[in-house]
Amino acid sequence: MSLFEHNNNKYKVIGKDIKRIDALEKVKGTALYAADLYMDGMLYGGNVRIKEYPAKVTKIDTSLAKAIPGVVEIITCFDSRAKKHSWADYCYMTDEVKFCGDVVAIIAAESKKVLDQAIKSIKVEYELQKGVYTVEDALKEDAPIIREKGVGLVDGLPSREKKGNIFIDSYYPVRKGDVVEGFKNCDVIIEREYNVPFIDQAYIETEACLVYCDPKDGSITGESSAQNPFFTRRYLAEASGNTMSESRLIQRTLGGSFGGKEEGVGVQIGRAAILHKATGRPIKMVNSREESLMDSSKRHPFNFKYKIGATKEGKVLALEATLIDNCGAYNNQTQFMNWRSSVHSAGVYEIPNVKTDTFGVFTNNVHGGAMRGYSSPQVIFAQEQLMNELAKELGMDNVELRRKNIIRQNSRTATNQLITEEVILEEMMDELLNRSNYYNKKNEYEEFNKNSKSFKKGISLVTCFRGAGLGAEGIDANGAFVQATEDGSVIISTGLAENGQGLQTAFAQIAAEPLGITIDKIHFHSVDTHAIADSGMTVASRGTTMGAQSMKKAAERLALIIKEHVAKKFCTTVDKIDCKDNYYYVVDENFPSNYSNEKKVAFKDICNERMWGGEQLAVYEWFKPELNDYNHHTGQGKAFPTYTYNVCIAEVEVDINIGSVNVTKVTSGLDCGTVINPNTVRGQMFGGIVMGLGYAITEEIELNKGRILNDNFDSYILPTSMDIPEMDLVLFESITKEGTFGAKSVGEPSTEAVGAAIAGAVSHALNKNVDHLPCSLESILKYMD
Amino acid sequence: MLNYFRPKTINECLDYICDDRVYIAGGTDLLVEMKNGHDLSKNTVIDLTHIPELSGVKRENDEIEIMACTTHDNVVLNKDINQCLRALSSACRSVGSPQIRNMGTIGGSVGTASPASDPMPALMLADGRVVLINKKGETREEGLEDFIVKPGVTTLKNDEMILSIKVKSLKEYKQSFFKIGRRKALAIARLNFAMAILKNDDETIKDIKIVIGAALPVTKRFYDIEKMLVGKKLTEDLIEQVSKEISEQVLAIAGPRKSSEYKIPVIKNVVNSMLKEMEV
Amino acid sequence: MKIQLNTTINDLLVSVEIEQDARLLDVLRDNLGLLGTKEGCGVGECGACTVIINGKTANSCITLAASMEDCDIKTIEYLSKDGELHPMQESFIDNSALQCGFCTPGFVLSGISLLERNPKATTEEIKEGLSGNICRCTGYEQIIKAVEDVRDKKYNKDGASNE
Repeated sequence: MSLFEHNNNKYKVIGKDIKRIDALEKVKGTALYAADLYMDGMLYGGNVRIKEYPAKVTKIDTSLAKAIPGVVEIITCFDSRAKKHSWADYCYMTDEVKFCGDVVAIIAAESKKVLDQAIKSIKVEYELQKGVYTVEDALKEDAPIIREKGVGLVDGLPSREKKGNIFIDSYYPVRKGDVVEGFKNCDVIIEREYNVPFIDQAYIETEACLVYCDPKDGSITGESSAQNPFFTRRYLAEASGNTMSESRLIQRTLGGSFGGKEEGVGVQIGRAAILHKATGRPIKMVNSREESLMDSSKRHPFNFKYKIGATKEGKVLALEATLIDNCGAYNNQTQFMNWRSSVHSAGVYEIPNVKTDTFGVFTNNVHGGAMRGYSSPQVIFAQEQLMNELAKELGMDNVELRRKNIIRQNSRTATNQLITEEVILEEMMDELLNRSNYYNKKNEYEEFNKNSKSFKKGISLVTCFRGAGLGAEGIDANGAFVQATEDGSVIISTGLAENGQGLQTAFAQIAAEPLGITIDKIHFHSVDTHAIADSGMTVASRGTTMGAQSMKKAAERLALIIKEHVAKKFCTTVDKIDCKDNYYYVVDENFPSNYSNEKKVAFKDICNERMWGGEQLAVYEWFKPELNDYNHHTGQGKAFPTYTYNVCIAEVEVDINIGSVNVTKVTSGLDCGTVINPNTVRGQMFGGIVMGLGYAITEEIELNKGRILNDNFDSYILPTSMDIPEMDLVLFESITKEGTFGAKSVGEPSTEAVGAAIAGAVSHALNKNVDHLPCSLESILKYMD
Repeated sequence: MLNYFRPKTINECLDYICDDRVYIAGGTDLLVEMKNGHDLSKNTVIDLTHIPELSGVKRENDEIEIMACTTHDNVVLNKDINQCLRALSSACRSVGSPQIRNMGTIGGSVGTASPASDPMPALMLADGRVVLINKKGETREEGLEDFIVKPGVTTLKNDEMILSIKVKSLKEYKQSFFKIGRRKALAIARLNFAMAILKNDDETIKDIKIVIGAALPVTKRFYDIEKMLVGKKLTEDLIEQVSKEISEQVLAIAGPRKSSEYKIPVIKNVVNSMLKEMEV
Repeated sequence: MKIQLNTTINDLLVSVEIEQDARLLDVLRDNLGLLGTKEGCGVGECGACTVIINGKTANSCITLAASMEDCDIKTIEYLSKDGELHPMQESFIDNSALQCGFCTPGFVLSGISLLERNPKATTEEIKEGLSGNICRCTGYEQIIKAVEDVRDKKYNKDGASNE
């Protein structure tokens, strides 16, 4: 293991602070987002919803709305042109309203103003039905069945033998060893329950799209704020009735997503496509913030029940848990996400006996979906609070308990995966303990708390790991296209998408490294589904670690082609050719790093020669990783090719008079494998810390019978610049044969431990078991009761 | 909106006043209401933001007059208010964000009668009186406690507009303003407090003022408690008793609602610690 | 009902027919094509729609356009209208002070505005000056650093410090 070094000369552009290649248009305000698109003849599309759910719609009176000049089209769920169900569980329109986001009619109008008037003029009659909103109620024997496919509990576990509200496809057991035997040998056993609420991704750009018919080739074209353009294309093709080949999705600059612009963006573009088909005119749809909060997926709430046992020396022998998440009314994510939850359900610890059951439950709420971490922020919160409680019960130091149980090289995880790679977790812990002055502060804070009546201080360390990429959840395959042009500039395209995280810049570096060219020569062509192959979704922090593998392959092959050309030119062999700063040169054996010799040629000159000589200048490559051997029935096997390790220390000051938590400092250490772009990694880590701070303290979707009460940013509370803590980041590198240039995941690990660390620090400050998030003003006061 | 008027003088403005008038003093609340469906199609909107004489702060001896369309930011920057009513400077500085403080006005804040208004406790602290002018040009003054009836409702008559807010200088007083929000900026007050104290040479209280906002439908000043404290020394026991009494008074008015679970003990804690800080 | 609005936007006199109840944000975007001003919330909370009106920042989503008669309005497009970047924009690029970029125009304007008002702003004052703009990506740190660098005259074109 090593701390990331800035002046590492191993690579030419990898690991360097390359400036973002998409920064200029963003600081100028000229970057074009989907809501910035206008077109002649364009209509504005909008949605009609009702305010109570679940309900059966009986009648929709559109007469008043139709009479408004400028209203062009109204399609209700009773219309024969209404396409109701989408391929992915959600509805474009429905008369069976199950949650606040369901739409009963869609409208196209000449202006936003007319559209608003029309929406208000639609009269919807409906019969209100009995709803279910919490996991507890949904699991009751007499609960109304929300979905046909829901199953019940038999002996406490989901079973197809019974009807109920459990989403069976989201059920994942993990069975390692024998927990009954394991607990018998424990000196200390504790049981704890934790829960966390729905929260929103809260990207600042709301969902938007423009759908039109491409006059050039007749394809239905959607320009969208899609996180996953190919995924969104499915909705476009389905709703329009076109083939995939005649449905084109262009991703516009994305104003943040964090997992949120998946299904909501999909049904939006479907609705726009239906209106486009009906009117023949371009349709623009832009969600208001309120709509975005109602219609887009949320981070899943979980109810956790944990039991853990250890010897008096602190060796954990058994862990048993039930992890139940609230799926909402429809769901197309929990069946993937819960697999990840199950794999990580026992934390980053080697525990010989593990039995966990993870499943989702349907309710009449907005659906849980993907949000940065994909269950890890929730699971780590519960798991790490549990470890703190265990340490307390054992009379042991929190960190020492972790040290005794963490996964090391040759450990076996909860899924019995043998970790063969280097594991740097303990070294990371030591570095962070040292840097943050952890033990001195811990003592100092405990002393302070003895004498302070109003303020309490706390510090806490959290350790965790994260499977990089999709792992056994799916196949982490992807494609990339690298084209050099006659002037030596290069166009790269990939099926992975820039979401704001810095993917363009990382991919440009990954292409530039083997090609020996500078970043300014590279143009990143954003995803256009007509121009590149479906490479899966830009999710799971897979972009750089897995998604860029094909880019590296393509750039390497093109570099080889160029080297062959140069070798021939200088009558030597390919292995004697190297490249740097836009030149290819013959390596002088005496001075390998000196390329200022005679035998060199500019990349652009080779490109020019090859172009006019009719030689290949473009390469398309595909990457498919080795499949993981994993048994989904027992939850045993190789879950992920590699893991990112993560240590986070949070410090807080709690004003117990008013219940406010001030996060004073967060020290965050991340095992990046190889750092591709230090500033981008730091940006992810800073952003991840502040997002985790929101999760820990202020963020919560407040619900009343499925209705979202805090539907804008005045009441859904995001951290501001004044709420941020002092942040100390430590970038680590480690050796892995997986991942592009050895890079591991960064985006999600940056945030997943933060909520847990802050909760731990609050627990330390108050000497209480913080058992739910957020640590709001009210809940802090309750702990002090 | 039916009509939109943008007068340049108060006199011109009076001409436009009619029964269905709605004022724009900064617009920060009105445009949000419009977005949330407030229908202005039958209203006459009178835009007060282009009337220079409606903006600014005047000081005459112990009286300060803040014209209705003075922005929160201009209150924060005003030297007289800084000198004489620091609690108001702090309160205005805690409003929303820089953008909101640049737009929102003191008159707008008073006129919308939000129970969570940040300037309100500080204005009440300084015996704030609202000056109203009617279509005929006649003025009247009313204490803020009487002017604010309940959330969103004031005694402003259809033919009136707010001209200014008059406050007393508390230059000699020790003052403080404290706000509890869910974050450090862009926060709606969960509770806010303003206090001022003036002591005699023998450390007994010559005058004290205690105001709490966001606890009740209308920001409340605790006159009876203030009166009871005059002539006394703020001992620890007395502080304990006062904070208990105030929180009990709030509970008695508010009743045992869900938010009381949080607010009642916190009022007690905060009044206690603010009084202690005042005493130091 | 429509009315004529006469005002100055980015140093240009503009006369535009608008709805009486139009928001400034919509007039900038829909009528004038100034698309760098973004809508994030519509209620004056996120600051993505920040513009500078008569020298002070404001949320254009809660500003009545009709009220802008004879005002001096500056949007993000003003900064690079002569082809060069403002030092604040350069500093944002150099400090990686942006990710998705949606909030960036608002932050750049707030950053400029706070330094104009207080050229020696401390870090705390910078944080306060940026507190009306919400960023979900960056965690603010690199944005604050970008403003600090401009404050510290690292972008003084003449190379001479004013200190």
